[in-house]
Amino acid sequence: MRKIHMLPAVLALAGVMAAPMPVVAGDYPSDTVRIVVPWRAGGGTDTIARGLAAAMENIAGKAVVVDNLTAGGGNAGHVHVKKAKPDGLTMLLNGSSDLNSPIIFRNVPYALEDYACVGAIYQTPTWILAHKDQDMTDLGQFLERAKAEPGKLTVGVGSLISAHYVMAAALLGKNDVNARVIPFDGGGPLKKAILGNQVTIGVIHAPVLLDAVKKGDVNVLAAGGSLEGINYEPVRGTKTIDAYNTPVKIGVTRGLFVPKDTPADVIADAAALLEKAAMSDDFKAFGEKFGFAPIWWDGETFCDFLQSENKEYRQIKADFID
Amino acid sequence: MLEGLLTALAEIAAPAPLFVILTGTALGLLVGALPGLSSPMAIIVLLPITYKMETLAAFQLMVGIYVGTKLGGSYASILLRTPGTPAAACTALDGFPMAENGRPGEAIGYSVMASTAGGLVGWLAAVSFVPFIASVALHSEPADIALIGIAGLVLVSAFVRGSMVRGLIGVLLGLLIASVGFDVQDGVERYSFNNPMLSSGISFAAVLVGFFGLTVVLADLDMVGRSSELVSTKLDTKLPRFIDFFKRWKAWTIGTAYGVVVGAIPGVGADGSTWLSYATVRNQSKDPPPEAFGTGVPEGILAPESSNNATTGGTMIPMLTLGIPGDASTAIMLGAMVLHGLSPGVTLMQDNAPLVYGILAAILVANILMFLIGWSASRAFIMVLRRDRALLFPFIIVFASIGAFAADNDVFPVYVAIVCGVAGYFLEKRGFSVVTIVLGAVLGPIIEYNVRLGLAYSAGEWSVFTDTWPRKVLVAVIALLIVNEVIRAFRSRGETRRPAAPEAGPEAERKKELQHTGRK
Repeated sequence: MRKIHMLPAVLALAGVMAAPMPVVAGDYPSDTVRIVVPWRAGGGTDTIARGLAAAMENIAGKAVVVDNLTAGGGNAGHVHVKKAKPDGLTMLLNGSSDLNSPIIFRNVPYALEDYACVGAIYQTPTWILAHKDQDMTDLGQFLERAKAEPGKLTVGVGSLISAHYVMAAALLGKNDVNARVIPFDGGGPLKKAILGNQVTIGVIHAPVLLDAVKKGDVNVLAAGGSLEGINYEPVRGTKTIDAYNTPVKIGVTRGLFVPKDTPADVIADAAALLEKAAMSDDFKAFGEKFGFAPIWWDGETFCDFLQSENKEYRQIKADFID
Repeated sequence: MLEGLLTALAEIAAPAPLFVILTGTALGLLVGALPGLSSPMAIIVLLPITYKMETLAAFQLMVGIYVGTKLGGSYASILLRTPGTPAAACTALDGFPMAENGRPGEAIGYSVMASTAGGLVGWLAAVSFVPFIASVALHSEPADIALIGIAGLVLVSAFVRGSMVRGLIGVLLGLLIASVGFDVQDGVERYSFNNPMLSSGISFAAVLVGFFGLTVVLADLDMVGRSSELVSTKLDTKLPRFIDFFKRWKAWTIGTAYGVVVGAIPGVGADGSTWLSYATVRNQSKDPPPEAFGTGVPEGILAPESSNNATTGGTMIPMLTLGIPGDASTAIMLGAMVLHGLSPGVTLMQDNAPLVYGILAAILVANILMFLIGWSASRAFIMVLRRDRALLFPFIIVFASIGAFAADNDVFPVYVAIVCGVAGYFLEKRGFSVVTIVLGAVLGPIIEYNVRLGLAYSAGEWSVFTDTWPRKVLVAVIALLIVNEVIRAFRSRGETRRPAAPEAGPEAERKKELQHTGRK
């Protein structure tokens, strides 16, 4: 009698133990997810990371934390993820050009090949701004003035290691004009110089200074990519730099990376979670506040984009910077 | 402008901000009272806690500490003759004799009154000048900022313990630390030796933690196991009658005026202003005669104590309008602003007016709370003087290390802090001041960046530094300061050969000794 009664119990127990087994692969994330941001808290990438982490947490039901590992100018964060356990629980959030620029212009202890792409969630082009007292509304006027007064006009860029600098160099080089490129110590000081009319034009990530644009203090002359996604209608039609002999796309596409040895099924799980989070209403609402709508690119598209951006920047560097 | 301040004052009058400021002020009094511990160190130790706080609350806490230490320092000066903080060193000259004569409560009472009066007038100066200077500064260009920074550095080296050579060496060491890493304008890596952790420079928080946290502990190690003998145990604060306070208006108004002005000069701070105001008050005094100073006259407490609290308002002016520190504590607050994602500088007022007014409001509240604590509860803070403060050292080291770690979430800055702490200890032993190093490290990058940006704007023309009247004046001031120091250096060299130099004598010796003990 006893034995007969035992059997269903044993079966039931086995069932309970076995039941989660097939689900394990889909049970991502099994633990707290860490999103490593190699830049300071409060910056653009960090702000996006925190918006995204909140959206991911709601979907995954597990904690998603943002870690700012900024030491060594971001080296610490990049290296940390490069060496992390490839279990999909430690991810790097960075922008395409923010990853490519140091790799191209500096001696850094990481390379594109150290990471696998999970997907991209946010894309913002670079834009060119001028104070209203410069009396310019499109980039053609700047190029004409620069031709008339070689070496007189100034182009402010946020840093020498940035998409902005690449864009300034390409623009001046392709149009064969001579203006002085002035590197600033980050976007903050450049913002001040544009607002104070201390540089003729400034190259900076959109939507930085959007408030000043709305007030009419600053004009948008051109953009490094389409401004269709921006939540301020009057500037959506801004010409891209294609119209000024510079057929390159310059901006920053932010996405997530994992260590290169991460198994394909783990990446797929992480990508599924990321896509849901990127397209969630939470994150869309965040994007509305930030200035641009979120996007979704899968890992392959994102990685291909990184490679082509890397090649493009290297070409510009060889042609106009070195 | 008035509206912004009133809003800030209305917001501060809530339980949470008041509690934060009260905590900060009480902590400041405590830390100030303990010889060897001062406000830069206390703020450094609390940095890791402030990372997790709301930005404004974090600064309210720091302001509370900053204001509180200025009064707290006088307790030790009066009761032990060992200054609690460098800024209170001068108070010992008359405070200690008065306590010895059986009037310790009165001495503390004068100190509380003078500190409060100085603090309030300093606050008035800050709220009157900050909005105005901020609006002028918005039109400043890199060349202006560079010249103000250079003038500040020259003043720092001139004021520190009288030896400009040591001051300059300290400042240059600071500049050297600051020059490590990636150079923004040329894209060259300086002194990084291909070490990726050095490639973007040495973490400022780590340098501060080392020089203000670890150096202090190392320097005070010889005090382990020693508790102090107070001059008197009758410690209830006896506030002076208003008439006694107001009839000595000259002493505390001179002290306050020096405090505000010296505080507002980038880089110098309270240590310099107290000695200046004391000397001025003594030399101008008829009743009591100058000879009476040093025997325990109230004026000798009123002048330095009003002066050191007045600097708290004065230092806010360059900090909030130009992003240039008035002293070591404000240098740390500027660093904390960066860690909180703000960009200190001429646009701070424009971008974060509520924060600027919030900090100014906190100064007022901290001064009022300081008065109330000093009036009613000084006793509790004085009692700690009898305890062995070595108990605090392990906590200081732990919190300081966390502070260094948390700035970058990395262990490397902790090593940097240890190196700086040990180096700072030996430098202090040799008579150098770590304050000069830290200010060099803070002002160095500001100056370099703005000099080069100014040159970039002008296409390499150096005349950009003299092409407006304010710049001409600044250049002249810098030149005068340097020439003056060089002449003084030559003169004092001549004097040391003669045995009876007028500057020497028992009092100068005493000043030297006090400044030295207070420094740690």
